[in-house]
Amino acid sequence: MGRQPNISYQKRKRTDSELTDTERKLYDVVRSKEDMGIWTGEMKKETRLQDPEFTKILDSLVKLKKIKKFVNIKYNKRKYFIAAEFEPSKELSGGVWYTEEGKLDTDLIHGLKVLCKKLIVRENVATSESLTEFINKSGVVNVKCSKEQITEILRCLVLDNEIVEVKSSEIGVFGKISGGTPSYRCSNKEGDPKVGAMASFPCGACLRINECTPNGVISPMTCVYYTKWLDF
Amino acid sequence: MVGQNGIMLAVNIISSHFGILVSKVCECLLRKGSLTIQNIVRFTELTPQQVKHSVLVLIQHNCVQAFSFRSDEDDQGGVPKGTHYVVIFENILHRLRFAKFSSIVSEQLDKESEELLEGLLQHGRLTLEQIILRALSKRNEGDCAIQDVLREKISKLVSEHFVERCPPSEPSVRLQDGDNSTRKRGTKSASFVRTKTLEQKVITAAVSLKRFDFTMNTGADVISEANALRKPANVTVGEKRKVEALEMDDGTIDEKDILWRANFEEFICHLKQKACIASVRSRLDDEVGVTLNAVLDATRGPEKKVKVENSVPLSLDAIFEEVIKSEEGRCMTKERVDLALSQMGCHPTTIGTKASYSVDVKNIIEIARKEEVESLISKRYGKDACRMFKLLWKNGELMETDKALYFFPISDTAFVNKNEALKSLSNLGNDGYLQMEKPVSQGAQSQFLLWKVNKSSLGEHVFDEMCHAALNLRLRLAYELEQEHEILQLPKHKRIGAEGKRYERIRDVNILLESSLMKLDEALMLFHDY
Ligand code: SF4
Repeated sequence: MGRQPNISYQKRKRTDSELTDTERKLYDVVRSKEDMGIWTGEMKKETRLQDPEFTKILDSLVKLKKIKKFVNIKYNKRKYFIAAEFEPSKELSGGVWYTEEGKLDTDLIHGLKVLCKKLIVRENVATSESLTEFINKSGVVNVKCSKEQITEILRCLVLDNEIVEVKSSEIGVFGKISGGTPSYRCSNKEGDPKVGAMASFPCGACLRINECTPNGVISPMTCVYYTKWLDF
Repeated sequence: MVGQNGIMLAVNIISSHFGILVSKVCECLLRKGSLTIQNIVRFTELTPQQVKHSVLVLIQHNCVQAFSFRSDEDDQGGVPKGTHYVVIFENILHRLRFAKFSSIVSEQLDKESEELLEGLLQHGRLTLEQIILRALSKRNEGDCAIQDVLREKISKLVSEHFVERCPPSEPSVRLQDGDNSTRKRGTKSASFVRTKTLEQKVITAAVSLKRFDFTMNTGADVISEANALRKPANVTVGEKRKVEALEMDDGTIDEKDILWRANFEEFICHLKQKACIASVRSRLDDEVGVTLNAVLDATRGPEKKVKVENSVPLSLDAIFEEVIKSEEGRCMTKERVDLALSQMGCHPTTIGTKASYSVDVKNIIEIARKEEVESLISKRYGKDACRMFKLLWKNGELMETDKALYFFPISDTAFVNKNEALKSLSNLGNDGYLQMEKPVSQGAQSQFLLWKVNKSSLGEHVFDEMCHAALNLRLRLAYELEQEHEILQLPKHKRIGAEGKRYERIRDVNILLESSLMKLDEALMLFHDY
């Protein structure tokens, strides 16, 4: 389960001479997992170490700052460790959007979405660079945002139909943006998503459509959604 | 592919236009594929006479095409003998669109041409003489000059491809494996695909080379000719037409006996262009709409096909020339036309020194379909489900639940519970909007689930559901009108008080249901015809 690192731990140069044999054994296992880390259950299985010795060695490696604990957002009840020189992979830590406790930083996300949308409305068209620069300079957010973070926020706004991604043509509103650069604009003149034909009447929104038949218990002739819709 | 609901909608349309007997025959053909009269009799348990009349009605209205099988080998063994009949599903659904077809002619030509077309839509197929007689009966005048004007207008309708000659009454189709087996629709099996191929083969075989050949026969007075050839009193014009429809054979027929009909394909081409323009107008802006209209107008050559994927490559100058022909385009500059093209994702390709632009029409249709599905999912399953659907659509490949969930948390409302997300995905999967797979690794089932938007099966599913919804709208409308039948009969002066209120209500109900049906019909075409 999970991604397997490419490099096998046997090939690694052994320079940690200050560790005991068992400490090194456990450390090697943790380090071999690179940015994927490993949880205590798996460690025990791979090293065949048992409590209380296992816990003792684990603690000493943490104290020696050889390994560190982290929260895996998929299995937040398990104790995961990673070698000190690695950072947990984005898939496990949730990336920049997660707090150290493994919780989604919803305030930050929501705040950035609102901010990006406002800036795009104001500027008519913007790129992730220009937005990142503006947000970091203005200091409205108390952390520094990377261009990748802002791009993810913009992608989410695209999925929400709030904005659209277009390539700069260097003409008109695109002005200074060099040709072909992905740029973002409001999705349509009013910024409202389009309501489709099906969504405009009861059957489009109806979860019982598969049970609805002309002469059945649920039928268009007796349908209460219709009765309510046609009540004027 | 047409599902159960498509069949039910088609049967409902035929039943309300031509009655229960004809609809029984139509349903039999829709479900079983092509059949001989004897087989229709066997399956429907109607009398041969009833079946024959019903088939004639369906042929008259271009919903059924007769054909026979031809084998290329000398050995005729195995070739089913006699005339077979195949139903043309699309032409049944086109009956919902007659008002749209008429207004195209009214916009592009004039009111009189629209009236002439309406005659053909109402009667299915008519000879030139019958078209003119029908038009004259609506006027008080009928001299030769007027008749020549009408002929001129019909000639124009034909040259614009709005009207065509009817296909030969019984083209022959080469028999291939599976063609003569019993086929069923509505059972999502491979056998349907064969039926569809056969249906298409018959339609292709029925296309006459002289389809748009109109030799103007000016000067002849149809009124006196009609009087001279007065038919026996007991044969109605309708019946004569029906018999002619069966007996007509392209080639040997007298020019005067040529039957004409509306060319649905041409109307669908126009409606597709309109739909593409409306889509880019609402998604992008009006100038993009004007530019696209110009590109598509310039693209329309003599061979018009509905399913074009790209517009014909044109230079910026040629497009600009076309843009400024319209009133809206007159205030646009070349630079703005270029910008509009790039907004559609249309960038120039250079061959030699010439740069040309070709618009990806297929992509515009796909975006319009995606918007329709997204709005449905958002309404029915919620915004979060819709976001996941969009992510999967964009990705285009199977995605592990975990990966989808990783992105999913980035939502506008706090953290979305993983179980909720999984529930939404499962609902979408169970209702046919997503494809779900459980990967099996080393003999054991993985704990991960894989999700994907399968665009082609999704299109068929949405179309079938739309047919169901259209049927529901039609049934409810018929029910409401029947309930208020007496109120609707009331003369104007009696529509007062409570009755007046009921009258107003049923009038508004009618408008709302009809307009919803019209809008839904555009979506039906988007998923099935474009
Ligand atoms: S008629 Fe009523 S019950 Fe049937 S699908 Fe439509 S809304 Fe649902």
